[in-house]
Amino acid sequence: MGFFSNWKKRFHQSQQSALQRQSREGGSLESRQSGSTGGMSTNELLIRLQLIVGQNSKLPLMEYSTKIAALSHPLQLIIFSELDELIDLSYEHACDFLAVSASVLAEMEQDQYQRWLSDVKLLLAKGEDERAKERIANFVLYTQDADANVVKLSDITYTLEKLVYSLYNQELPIFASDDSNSITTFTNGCELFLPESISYFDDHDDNYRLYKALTFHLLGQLTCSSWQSLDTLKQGIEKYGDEYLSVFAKVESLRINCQIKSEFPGIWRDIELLHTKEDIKYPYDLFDGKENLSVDDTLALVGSLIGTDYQLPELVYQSGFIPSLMGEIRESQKIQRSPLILNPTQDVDDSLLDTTGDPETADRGYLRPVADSSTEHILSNSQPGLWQDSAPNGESINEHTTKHHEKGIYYYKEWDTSLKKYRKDWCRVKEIVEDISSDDIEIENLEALKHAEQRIRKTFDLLINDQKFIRNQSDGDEIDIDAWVSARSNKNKHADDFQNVYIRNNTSTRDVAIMFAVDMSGSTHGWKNTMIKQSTWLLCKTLARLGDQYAVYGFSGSGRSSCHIYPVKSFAESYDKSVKARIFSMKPHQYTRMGVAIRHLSMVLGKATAKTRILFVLTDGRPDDIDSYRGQYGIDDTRLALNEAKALSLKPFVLTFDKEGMDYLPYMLGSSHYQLITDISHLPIQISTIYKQLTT
Amino acid sequence: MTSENIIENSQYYIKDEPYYLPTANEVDIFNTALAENIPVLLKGPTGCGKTRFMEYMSWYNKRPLITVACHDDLTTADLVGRYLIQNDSTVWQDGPLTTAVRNGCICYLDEIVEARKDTTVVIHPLCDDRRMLPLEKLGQLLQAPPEFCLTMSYNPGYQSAVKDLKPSTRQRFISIDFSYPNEDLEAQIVHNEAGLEFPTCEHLVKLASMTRNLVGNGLEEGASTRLLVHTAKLIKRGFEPKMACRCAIADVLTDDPETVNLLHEMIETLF
Ligand SMILES: Nc1ncnc2c1ncn2[C@@H]1O[C@H](COP(=O)(O)OP(=O)(O)OP(=O)(O)O)[C@@H](O)[C@H]1O
Ligand SMILES: [Mg+2]
Repeated sequence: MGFFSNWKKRFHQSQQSALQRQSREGGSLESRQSGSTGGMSTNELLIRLQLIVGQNSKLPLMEYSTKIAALSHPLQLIIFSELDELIDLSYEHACDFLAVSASVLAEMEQDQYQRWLSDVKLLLAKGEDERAKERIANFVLYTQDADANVVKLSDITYTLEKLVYSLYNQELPIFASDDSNSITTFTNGCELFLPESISYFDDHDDNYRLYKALTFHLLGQLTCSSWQSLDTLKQGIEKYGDEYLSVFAKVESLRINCQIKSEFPGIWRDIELLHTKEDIKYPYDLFDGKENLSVDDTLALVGSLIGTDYQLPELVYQSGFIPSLMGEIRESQKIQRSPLILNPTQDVDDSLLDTTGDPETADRGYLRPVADSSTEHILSNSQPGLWQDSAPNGESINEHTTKHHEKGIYYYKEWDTSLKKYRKDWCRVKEIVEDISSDDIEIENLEALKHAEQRIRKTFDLLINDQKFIRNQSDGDEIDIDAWVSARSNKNKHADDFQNVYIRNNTSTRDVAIMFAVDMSGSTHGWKNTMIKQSTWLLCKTLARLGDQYAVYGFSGSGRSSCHIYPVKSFAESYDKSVKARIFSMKPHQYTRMGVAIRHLSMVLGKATAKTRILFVLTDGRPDDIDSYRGQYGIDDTRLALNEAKALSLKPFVLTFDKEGMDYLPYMLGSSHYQLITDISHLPIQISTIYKQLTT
Repeated sequence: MTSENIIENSQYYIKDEPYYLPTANEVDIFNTALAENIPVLLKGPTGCGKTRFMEYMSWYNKRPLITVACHDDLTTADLVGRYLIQNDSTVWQDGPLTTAVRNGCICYLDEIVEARKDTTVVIHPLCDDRRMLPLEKLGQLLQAPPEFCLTMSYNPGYQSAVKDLKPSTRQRFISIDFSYPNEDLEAQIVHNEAGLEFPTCEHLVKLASMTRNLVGNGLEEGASTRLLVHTAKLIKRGFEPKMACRCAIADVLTDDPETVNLLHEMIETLF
């Protein structure tokens, strides 16, 4: 058994990185693995499978093993890991999975594979065993939808959400609806639900148009206050049955179209295009060109149409009107009417709102909901912690009020690139001040350091000289008497000496605060760490000359709940013995969760007042932490953290030892905000020259 | 030094009425401040009509307007004046602020936060009830006439701790808040400035308000009235609206491809 548990452990580690690697490369799963080490043999596989599914299972394990043996090692590992997970959910399904796994991995693209598996797991979690079984068997369906005409909601969620936000000035997260329902497009006032993918038309653009039309219709339900009809609607349904609802939905959509037509001609053009595609005879005259339609106009029209054989067109972009949800919308609009957070910029056509006699509902104004609790239940099955949408609004309300009472503990969001959303309060940061006795610090390489120190001083002295009075200027604060006198005495020789007789005083132009964020991950172990310590020490010693504000913080940690920041020197401290002691006690710790470190240190730096504020990150590799903070995920989160820093008008700069840094640094930072250091023994001098460039 | 320094200030008069559409009670406030000799601070985002307002007020009150664009190298001497050398001797040359004080003009310091902190201090004695401008190098104290008025503008949007006004400076002023005009007025302004038909102007304003909602969400600042006027002018000249919006709004607001894309989507919904 020792073998088994050991294997499992090893396997979990390698599986992570295998998946990461795949996500970075493209192409089919199998072809990507070429060149990797050979996989496990049939026999080995057989033993392992027997260990997992049990020796006396009636499954043709030998056959499976043979198939799996043809795959490369990382893929084999993926199969085992998934099998392991599925077996916890359902033994039966795990066996089904095993049966198809080899063919699936050989045929599917990475994203298809992931979608397939996550669908299966989702169904299992919901207890829909039959459908899960079907999904597993019908994996071929997933290989086919690479069809270029399909538009997937996940690809356009970001754009649609931002678009909605820009219009509605309120976060309305968009989710894929459950396709087992007959109605796939609906809203509850806090969220929009749209079909997971649309392949209705043979043309990609048309399908995208359909998505936009659906979205604007949902938005229309909210801005045109369709919910105000709720009471009449219920009575109607009681009297006429579901036909009433269906007629209402159609007529109300026509009314929403009137609004779209006048306010969003672009969308209206798209909709008309869909009409032609669908050969719809659009009843332009239904509302008689009346302006400022209200929900009462709809109800009146419905009243006159119900029971007649008037043919209303079937609209492709028909959104769902669900009475129970309309009740929720009504509630949400009431909550949003709290005057504290009134959004004054929202403009709503009064006439559209002023429809019911109820003075409360007639009152204008669209407001933000107090809390977005509804997003939570959708996503809460994945991880603990709240999810947060990418707008800063929610953030300011929640971020600093919750659970921040522990001292020295901070919580930060993190960007999940697969979801294109921030995970709220995801990382827990702790500042750990190490107090060390300042005696007996051994400094190696003293001679070399002395030389480096002199070089640094020289570089910095040049900076200082830059700042004194500059004589012989054509313009300045004071007359340079010396220049004037000398000009007079050479009058005949250089007439234009008289041009340059001013002194310019530059003293106060130098106003710099710099934050050195030093990677203290385990990988800096050894001479890198020594070099980092020595350079930091030299810098701290010499920087005081310039009178610039500077701070040094180390960062490391393992996992999102223990991100550690090690303050070495704060802005307020001046360089002294204990700072020196802390510098020399900097030692490699665990991993590099870079995003959260940047967020925290940006916050610290953001409090400093200076004209130029530089966030200088010294690191030895790409972002990397346990709990899959790796690859694209880590890079994207770091990129956003750096962007947030830029938004605080900080200047980020990354100095890296990582030779592969050029693969991702340009993406993370944009050009000229990073540098690669190839010979680490030049570190101290290199830092000082970069410093000079950055601050002048 | 006396008569030759009194400028022929007709060049500073605004002769034709500038087009300005009041958006709130800013005209009244300004006139009152003028009458009471209180300096005025105009706050607002870029391109929302601050400069235009000053031109209008200058025309309205028939007072010359002297504008100084502040930058981070603006020294006291640039404002107050300095000695120049001419024919072997030094000659004093008034700076714009001194000129404004001597001639009773309206002096408008544009983007005051950009100026160096030590520079802004020279206006302190001028902005309280002493209303004096010390000309240290001349050894003179200049008393401002009642017609003189100091105004300055700044954009609190890009505020950073560095670029903020000192309380001692702030508290000498009354402040008029310029934010974007409401949608109808703004459409009216665009219509008037560019001569474009009204409905298209309304859509431009709608687009602008959409971009303004995205501030902090990818955009540093939303589209200003000025941008709308530019766009409207392009459209008026026969450019396709979508094209005009892309050139004059989307690409102007940001370089980030993702955000540009989003702006294009917004334009698509409206045109
Ligand atoms: N209330 C208004 N009446 C008339 N025109 C206006 C008004 N508001 C804005 N504008 C238009 O906007 C343009 C830009 O305004 P202006 O130059 O005054 O901006 P500003 O606030 O001074 O911007 P900045 O801070 O960038 O200098 C003007 O040329 C004018 O066309
Ligand atoms: Mg201006």
